[in-house]
Amino acid sequence: MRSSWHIARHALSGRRTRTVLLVIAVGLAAALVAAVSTGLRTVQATVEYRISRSIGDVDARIVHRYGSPFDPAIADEVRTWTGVRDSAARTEGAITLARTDDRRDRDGRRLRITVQARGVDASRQDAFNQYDLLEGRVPTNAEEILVDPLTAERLQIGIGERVRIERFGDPIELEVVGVRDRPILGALQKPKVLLDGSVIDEATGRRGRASMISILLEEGLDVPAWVEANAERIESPLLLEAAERARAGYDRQVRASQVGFRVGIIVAFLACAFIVAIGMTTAIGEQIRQLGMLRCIGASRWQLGGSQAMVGMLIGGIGAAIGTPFGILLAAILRWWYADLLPGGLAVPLEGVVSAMLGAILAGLLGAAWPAWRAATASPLEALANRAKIMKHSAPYWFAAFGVGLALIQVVLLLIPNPDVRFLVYAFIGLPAVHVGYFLLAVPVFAVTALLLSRPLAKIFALPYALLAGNLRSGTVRLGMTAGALMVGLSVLVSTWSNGLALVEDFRERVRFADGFVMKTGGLGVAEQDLIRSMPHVANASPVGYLPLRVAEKDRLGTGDMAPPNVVCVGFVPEEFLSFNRIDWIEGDASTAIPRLTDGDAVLVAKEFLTARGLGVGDVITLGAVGDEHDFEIVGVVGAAGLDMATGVFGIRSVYLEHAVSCVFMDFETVASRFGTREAFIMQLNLDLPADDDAADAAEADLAQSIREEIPGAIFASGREIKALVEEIGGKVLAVTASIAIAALLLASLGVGNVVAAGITARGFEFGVLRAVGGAAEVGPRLVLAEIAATGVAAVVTGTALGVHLAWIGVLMYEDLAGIDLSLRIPVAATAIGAVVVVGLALFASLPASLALKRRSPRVLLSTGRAG
Amino acid sequence: MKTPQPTETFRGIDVRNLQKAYRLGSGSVPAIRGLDLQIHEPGLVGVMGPSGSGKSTLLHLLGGLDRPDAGEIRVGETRIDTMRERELTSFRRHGVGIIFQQFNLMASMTALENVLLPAVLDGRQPERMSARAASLLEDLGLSDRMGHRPDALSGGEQQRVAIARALLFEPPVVLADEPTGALDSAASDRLWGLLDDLSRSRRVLILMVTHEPAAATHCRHLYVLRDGRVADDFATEGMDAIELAHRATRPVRA
Repeated sequence: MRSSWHIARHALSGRRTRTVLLVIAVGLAAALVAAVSTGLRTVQATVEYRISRSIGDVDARIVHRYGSPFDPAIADEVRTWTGVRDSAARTEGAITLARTDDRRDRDGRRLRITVQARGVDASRQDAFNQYDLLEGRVPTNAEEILVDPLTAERLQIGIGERVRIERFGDPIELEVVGVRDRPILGALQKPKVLLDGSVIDEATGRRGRASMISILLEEGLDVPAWVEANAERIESPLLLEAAERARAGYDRQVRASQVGFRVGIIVAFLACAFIVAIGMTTAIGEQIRQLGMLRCIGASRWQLGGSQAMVGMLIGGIGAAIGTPFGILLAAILRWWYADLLPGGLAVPLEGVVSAMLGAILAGLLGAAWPAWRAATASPLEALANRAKIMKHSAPYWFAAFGVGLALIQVVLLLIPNPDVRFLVYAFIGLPAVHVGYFLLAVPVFAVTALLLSRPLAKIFALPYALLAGNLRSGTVRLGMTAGALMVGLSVLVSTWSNGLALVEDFRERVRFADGFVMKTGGLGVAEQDLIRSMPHVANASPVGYLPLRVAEKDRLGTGDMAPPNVVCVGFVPEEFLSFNRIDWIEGDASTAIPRLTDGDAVLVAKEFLTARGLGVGDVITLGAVGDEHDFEIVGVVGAAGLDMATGVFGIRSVYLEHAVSCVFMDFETVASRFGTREAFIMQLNLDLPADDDAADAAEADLAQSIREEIPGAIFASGREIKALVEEIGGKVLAVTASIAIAALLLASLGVGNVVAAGITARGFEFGVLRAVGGAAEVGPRLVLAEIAATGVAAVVTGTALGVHLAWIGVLMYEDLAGIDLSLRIPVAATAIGAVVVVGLALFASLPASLALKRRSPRVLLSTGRAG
Repeated sequence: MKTPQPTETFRGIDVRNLQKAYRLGSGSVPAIRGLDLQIHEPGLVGVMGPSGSGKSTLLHLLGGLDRPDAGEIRVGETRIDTMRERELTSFRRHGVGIIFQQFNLMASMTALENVLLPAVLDGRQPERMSARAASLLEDLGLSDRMGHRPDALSGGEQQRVAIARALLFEPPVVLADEPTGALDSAASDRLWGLLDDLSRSRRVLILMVTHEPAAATHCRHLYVLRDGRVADDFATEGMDAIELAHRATRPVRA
């Protein structure tokens, strides 16, 4: 051990420049893992934070099918179920608030407002509703209230002031302790307040009656699957259902970000390992020669192996010690820079830090083991003779064969049936195999690149063609492997960007809904609909009808005696509706269902309808008044996450989609022809607004005014604010993800750049010979730069291919683990910029070493690597 | 394995029916073909021969750097052709010293540290051997260069450090591969004198491979190799380089 340490110490101090360059390379590689993992975890925390603030943390809920209050003790029972983290009863009620000082507005009317009040158990509040607060805090007792900006504005009230609940009997006075952050969305939006459940009970007279049981499940649980498995434990008319988070697919988004995080760590870890391993095997000939000499004077294989392991551990350890905090610092800078987009705070994942440290040290060990193994297993003579072995012509073919074989292993792994097992095997076998495969493929890719680029590069760098071509040919394996290390940064960029872009697009698409809504309680007639269509800034408009219809006796099965005799028939124009909203087809598909809808003898239903009534695709339901009944076949089970979210944020779901158990979706024309009405409850609008926000606001205000004036009773609500929310969650997160990918590219490229520089330092003898036989001083540096340019191009080709491959695997994994169907997108512009960065940084990083080469005399160069 | 000590009954080198061939493509090229060599007296002994005659191969086989295809090799009191790898490692550490044409010193170590390197590899405290290493360097005229690294030493000085390293464990045999090949003539002459003195004073057999007749004149005895066998051997006393070259290149004896 002592002798190994002795050799290791001298091996490092004997090549100080190279050691420093390698430590920097390892440090940058470790920083890459730390930065990527910390950055992705921070993004993940932000996604979760935004989703929990936007639509709450609740995973599932128990509601009464028909809105009646029920026993809150069910929450205690639910808490004992497997997979449940917490559950709590919630009370909802409408209450009227007024200022205790009876302040009046300019028209002399007393300031008062009817709000939707949510009563909660204050002791569990933190777990269930994490409101963003503009100021103040959440209530901690029954004498406090949290209001939203709408309520605060209407009552002209602030923190510390008091409000009174108006009711029959003694008024209840409460102190305003906080104002929550909630976008003001216009006339359709209902004001909301939060207070202790007992206050609502007292105010509404519904003592001990819950309106909902909110359920939090353990992290990572598949919410729809859990709901399905436990649905029968709840007796009708109560209904266990997934909350908006799962209904709109946000839980999948969270799971997807977790998948992305894990894959990101593994990819970054592998990138780190490759950079370090390549760094350690730089100038293997020189190392083997020295190790061979040691064998000649009596060093054992173990001593050499031990010494090289120590070299690797030292370089890896120092690099990890420097690089890991540096990576976290970079992520912290990123968080600081995007502070407004990353309110989830900086999240430093333990597994990321451990991966960075272990990755650097293990990769250092592995990288160091290779030359030691070569020297230890070769005879001392062979090691001593090792100077410049001629590459066999068949070498690139072998590299290609093994490379393709390893890359294809991943395809075979896709045959594993269990998705969770498939992911684990993919992560720990497939990903490394794919990386090693492409790493090997870099050699034949370099061989082809060299063949194609030798002539133009010789011209660009003013080198004799034969010299450059010969050098590239003889260095195919070495330079190809360097390209293999250089490619990892670009592959991380391409795969992260590609999957990130697809995820964000999926996120946007998932919650696609209209730019604006017009609602009129009494319904919008055909003339009014046409008038809206003709208004300025209205690009197109689609009516959504709302018609209660009687269900034939025979179809009330499964809902019991308490089932209402009616369903809500939501009439819509299929093609138009699809241009406003995305429909998720739980059963059936658009291509067969929509023609049936327009034929007029079919309906779509929500999943809850299917569950409650036991009716599904292919069943027939009879709707209409006695004597005017019509049969409709159920041709699809659907969800519209965007509409869910919009109506949820507006607070109009209770009249629109809340009781999806009673909703059927029918073609608008069918409603007209069969039931004689063309009235719309809501018009969905797509608006043609100016790009400038202020001008858009003004245009919307004009439109709202026109609607108020020309259609009495109708109100306009903008969807832009909610869309901005979606943009914030999705679009801006992409910017952060892209920044992480670019940081990864820069770190990886700089890291390999240092490896390349270390290689130049170690190849002094070779350049000395070149000078000795008459080469000019600048020939060496030019040759190096031409080599690096060819290496960079090979790295770009291989890295892009690996990135696309990883992105493709990512698409499959997101489908497997998060149920998200992504499309494979190639970020062409980002890849092109990444390619320039890869080649540019490699050239930049090697410039100092190249220039130093020019300054050295042939004698000094010839003594390089030959020791004494 | 214990460190072999110089004995009064010096056993030298005993090689019998040695054979070694190298693979080249699909065929093989014989380098040593049934070579016999017995040297039982210490001193400076040379091996000469044209390129491809097998002299370097012989040196590598004697040093345990390579394995023969057939035949017996005894160096000192040790038979090495049957040794396993671990034993060969120990043999190279204690049983033989090797001097390379290109010195092969560790660039990051001082002259003294380079000499002590075999002790470090042997798991010994270098301090315990430093007196002996210093003494060797003193004997070789490097007392004022012990703290210098190779890049601060001349070629001749570097080669003397390599010689000191080869002698640290006092092996009975030292093998030298063109030891003056990288030195100028003045440095070469000094080195020959030194090697001659060492071989006599320490009763060490220094077997040197060379292709220069001038270098061979410093040897007490010369073996001429041709086609992998000893073609001739003779005492060099009184011979100058021209006579020696003439003798070494004359037709093979019957």
